[in-house]
Amino acid sequence: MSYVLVNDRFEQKRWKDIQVGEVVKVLADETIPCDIVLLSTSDLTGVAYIQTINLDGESNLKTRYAKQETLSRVPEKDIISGLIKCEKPNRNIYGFQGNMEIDGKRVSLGPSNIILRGCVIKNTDWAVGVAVYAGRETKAMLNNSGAPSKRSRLETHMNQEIMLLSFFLVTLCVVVSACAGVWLKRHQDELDMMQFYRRKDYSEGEEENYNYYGLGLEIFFSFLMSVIVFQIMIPISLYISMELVRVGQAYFMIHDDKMFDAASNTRFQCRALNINEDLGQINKDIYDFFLALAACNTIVPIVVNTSNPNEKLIDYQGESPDEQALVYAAAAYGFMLIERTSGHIVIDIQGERQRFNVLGMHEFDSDRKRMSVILGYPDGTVKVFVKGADTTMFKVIDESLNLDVVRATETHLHSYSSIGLRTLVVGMRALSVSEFDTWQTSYEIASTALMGRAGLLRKVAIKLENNLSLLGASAIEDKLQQGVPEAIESLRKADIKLFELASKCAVVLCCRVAPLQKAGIVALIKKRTDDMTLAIGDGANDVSMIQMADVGVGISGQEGRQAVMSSDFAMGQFRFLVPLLLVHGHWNYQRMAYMILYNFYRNALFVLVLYVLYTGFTLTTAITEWSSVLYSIIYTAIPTIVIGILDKDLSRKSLMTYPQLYGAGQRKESYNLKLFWVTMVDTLWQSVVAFFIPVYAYWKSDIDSSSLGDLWTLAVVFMVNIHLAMDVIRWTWISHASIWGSIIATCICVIVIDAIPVLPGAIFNLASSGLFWICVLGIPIISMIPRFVVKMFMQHCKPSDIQIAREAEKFRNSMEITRSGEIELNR
Amino acid sequence: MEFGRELIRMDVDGAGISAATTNNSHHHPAPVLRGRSKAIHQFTQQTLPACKPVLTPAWVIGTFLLMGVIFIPVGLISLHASQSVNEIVDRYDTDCVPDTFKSNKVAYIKNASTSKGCHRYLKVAKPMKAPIYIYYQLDNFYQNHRRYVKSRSDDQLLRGLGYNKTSSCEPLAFENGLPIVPCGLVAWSLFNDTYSFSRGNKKLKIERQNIAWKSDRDHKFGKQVYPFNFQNGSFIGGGKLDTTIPLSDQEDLIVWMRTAAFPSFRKLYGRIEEDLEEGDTVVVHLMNNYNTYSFGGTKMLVLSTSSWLGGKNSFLGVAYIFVGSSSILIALVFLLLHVKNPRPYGDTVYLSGNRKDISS
Repeated sequence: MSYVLVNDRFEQKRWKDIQVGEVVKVLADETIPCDIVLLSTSDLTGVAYIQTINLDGESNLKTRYAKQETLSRVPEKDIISGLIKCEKPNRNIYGFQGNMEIDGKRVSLGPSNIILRGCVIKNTDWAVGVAVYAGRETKAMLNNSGAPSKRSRLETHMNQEIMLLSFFLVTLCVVVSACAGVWLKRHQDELDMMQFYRRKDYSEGEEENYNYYGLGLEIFFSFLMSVIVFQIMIPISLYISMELVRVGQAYFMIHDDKMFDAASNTRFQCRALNINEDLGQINKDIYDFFLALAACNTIVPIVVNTSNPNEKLIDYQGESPDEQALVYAAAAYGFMLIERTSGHIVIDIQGERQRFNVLGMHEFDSDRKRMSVILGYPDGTVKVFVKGADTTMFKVIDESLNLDVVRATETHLHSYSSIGLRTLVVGMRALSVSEFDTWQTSYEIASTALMGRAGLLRKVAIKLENNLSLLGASAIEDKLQQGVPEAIESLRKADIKLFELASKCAVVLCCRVAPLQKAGIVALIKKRTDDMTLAIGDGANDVSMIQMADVGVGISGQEGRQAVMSSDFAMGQFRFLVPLLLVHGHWNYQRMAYMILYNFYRNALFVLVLYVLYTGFTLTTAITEWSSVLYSIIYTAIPTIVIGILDKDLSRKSLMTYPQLYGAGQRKESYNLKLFWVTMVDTLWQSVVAFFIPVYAYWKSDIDSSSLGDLWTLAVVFMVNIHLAMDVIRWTWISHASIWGSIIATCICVIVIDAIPVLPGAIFNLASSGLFWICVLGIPIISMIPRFVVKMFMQHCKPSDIQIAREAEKFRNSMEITRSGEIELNR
Repeated sequence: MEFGRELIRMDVDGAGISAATTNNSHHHPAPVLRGRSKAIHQFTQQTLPACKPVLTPAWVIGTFLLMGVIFIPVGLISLHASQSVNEIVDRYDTDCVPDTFKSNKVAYIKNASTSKGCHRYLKVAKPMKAPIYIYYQLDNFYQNHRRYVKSRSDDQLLRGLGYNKTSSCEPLAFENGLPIVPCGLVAWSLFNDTYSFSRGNKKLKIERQNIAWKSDRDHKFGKQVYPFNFQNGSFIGGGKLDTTIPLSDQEDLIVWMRTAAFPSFRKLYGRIEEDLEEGDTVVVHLMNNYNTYSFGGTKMLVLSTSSWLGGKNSFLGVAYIFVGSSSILIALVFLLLHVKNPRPYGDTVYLSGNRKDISS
């Protein structure tokens, strides 16, 4: 609800009912309902302070001005009529151009006259303005890109492979049903008499076909039947297993003490479950620091110096950590900002209050990367103070004035920035009367121009900001970002490309990036490259970017919760990104990738397609229906999930020590099309072994279907569990319990099923024969040989980073002893 | 005006800052935990005690050698067991058809008036020790055909006429409006060739009891269930049953109803409880009743001794010996590989990032 002028009175109106052209009144600490052009405020000079945190993440106060022509009008009493012409609705939250015709005068309007929806009025009792954009046309709404649904890259690839398998399944079913048709055709004349077919039904007195609907339909039924029988090949249960594994992985990420922020008492948050494993494949990492440079977020900083060049004083109203730090520093040196209005400031300089006139100001822009303020001293002198990034500041500083100080400052700056401090350089110059007059004239012309105002102002600023004498430099240590430089170093080593959207080392991109532009950058990277992107940010302005990136991480910092709410993962500290990616991301990726491949194998193996060759293509299954159902539920379900959650290919220590191990995920080493095919070939081989060994061992014997089915069930369950056991890296008691427990559970289930009288159980007679045991123990071992040989061969000849690091973990102690011994010898 | 703000002293020349540089380690002093809470902590931090086997060359070579050492003897024993089995196989389905019916065997087998009797003379090439198992072997008979295996009612076999949900047995669930026990195609197609044996003038004693599984007799076929309305239709599929004997004692039926896994299969008929000597001639008196002619199936009679491994089948023995020798070969290849081309294990200088560093 907001106050809107209706019939000369302000009445409450819903936001959605506000129309363009209506006069809106906003009280202190209220949120602006639509984009309004300021008419008047409680301040006599027409100033309104606003906070734009919801828009661009900047938490400091900014000033907006009502025009001289309107600021004294009281809307309830005066009848104001005017016409505002402005641009069409657009996304640019930093630009606005328009003019207002009022009382026959044309007044220009700029970005400093408009307050955007989502901003909050601060330190101003009330403000009145005209709605110029409302509803969906507001800049804030246009910047909202909406949340796209995310799916992990692994799952996307997996879905492609599942499509491949489905295609294969359909082909297989077509072939089998065609063969069934050929079989029926060849035995066409015999079907009536065959004891095992008996097409004719005589029971009704007259001959008719029983359950036979002609060749075509029989082929069609064969096709449907084969789809039913072979569909196990498509691991539908994999989706469920994946979800369970992700829940487990999320549990461990949340409970990781290494990602617990003791300062804010916040744990890691998993807000999206379906992209855990993406964390292991990040190539590009886009982050937006907490407003990296103080200059960027200070719209009205007033920089003052006295005899000591290293001391300065900055606007007290800044609420960002940077500003606070600077103001505290100044205050600590005895420069306290006392009072501040639109036209002047009062500063307590070591006990003595002084008043300075603010004569003009050039705001920060991305070309200059600096800002300046023109101050009039009580004694009448005028000085310009400039503050900005070191790279641009040294260009405009007159080095001849004080070379020693300049050199010393450069050295200091270098050492500050190398330890991760954020630096600013401050310079000043006294203006002569003529210089000031020249500047003032051009400044006024530029600031009222309708066309190209920004460019003109920039020219004026550039003209002014030169031959400065260096005052000093400030360096701010960011307490919120403990360990950030180390974190970045680790991520760099892991070959993750970093884009800093708000820091000095970015080449093109600066901090004043609109939300949608950030999202645009992410979208561009996603579109142009095949790389995985991660966006991390803390402000409301990072929301679009976080939603757009493959993985969005929110920092639950000081600047509101919007970023956290839109993120997939949220954490208390930037540096937690390192354990998140290098440790959990790596584990999650390795586990999930293995689990997907394993599930493809596990399901495809159980189908034993070749049995159709011996059943006249009639899709009889030797394995009981019970075992078919229980296979994915009991026999083999638990180990894959447990291993998917618990197995660790490398210790946390190794992963943190060697960030390059992260490359395994980036290079898609653990899941790719080649590995999929290798797995499928291996599956085919194992399937052939599991099928033909019993076939030839029991050929022309008196074995019955259910015995063969039990033999296959047990052999396949042994195979898949031993297969898994061969790939387990860390054997905890839980892994042991799940794998061997599954085998025991299977045996118990088979015995129980076979003990049911109305089922053709056979295990008791089967288990008493030696042939059965030789088969059931031999099949798993024989089937694993090629896999084991290839694995060991690759391990020896082409060891992966992970393999080497694993060996290092195992043999580290002895290696370190020999190394230290060598060092001692060298001494 | 009040100034209740916190003032932080900041040394601008950097001396104070360097002292306050970021401290990344941020260690929590690990709390000393005991028992249950320690286990839970280890679990949540994923630091449960674990065994991390790394397969070193010695282990790999050792594993393959061990496989060879186990597989070759097992293969040899299996092969020996298979070799020790003697069997006589005699196909009789064509020879037992009189010459006049050779061109139309189906007419012969369907004709109730023709004599189905037939004599076969089996020469014993190697001595056979009792018990000698008598099997009949059918080829090209799909007892695992989907249509066939479904056509039975295990509930009816156990509970008899009291059970009437026998729709799976169609079209052999009812005949002339009365239920059939045992119903279905499987029972209907019961094999009904009979054999008796004599050596010289003496009849050989054949044991026809205990040829079916005890578990089937005790638990799957009812002791109070008697055949009813069985083979009373116009189209007779196979053997008839003595209606005075309960299903649990109809062992031929029980054996037959364990449907075979493959289209070529043997089924136990009985046991000869006497040794057969080398050079003996066994005369088989058989009744050639069963119709395999209509679909090109074959019938054979098999006399076979047995070993611990079952019948005569050298496949597993050969396979095991092959796998065992391959394992030893692989072990040798790996040995050669490790000797010729050794790789230091666990040396982190070989990590990809570090390798670049070395080359640059």
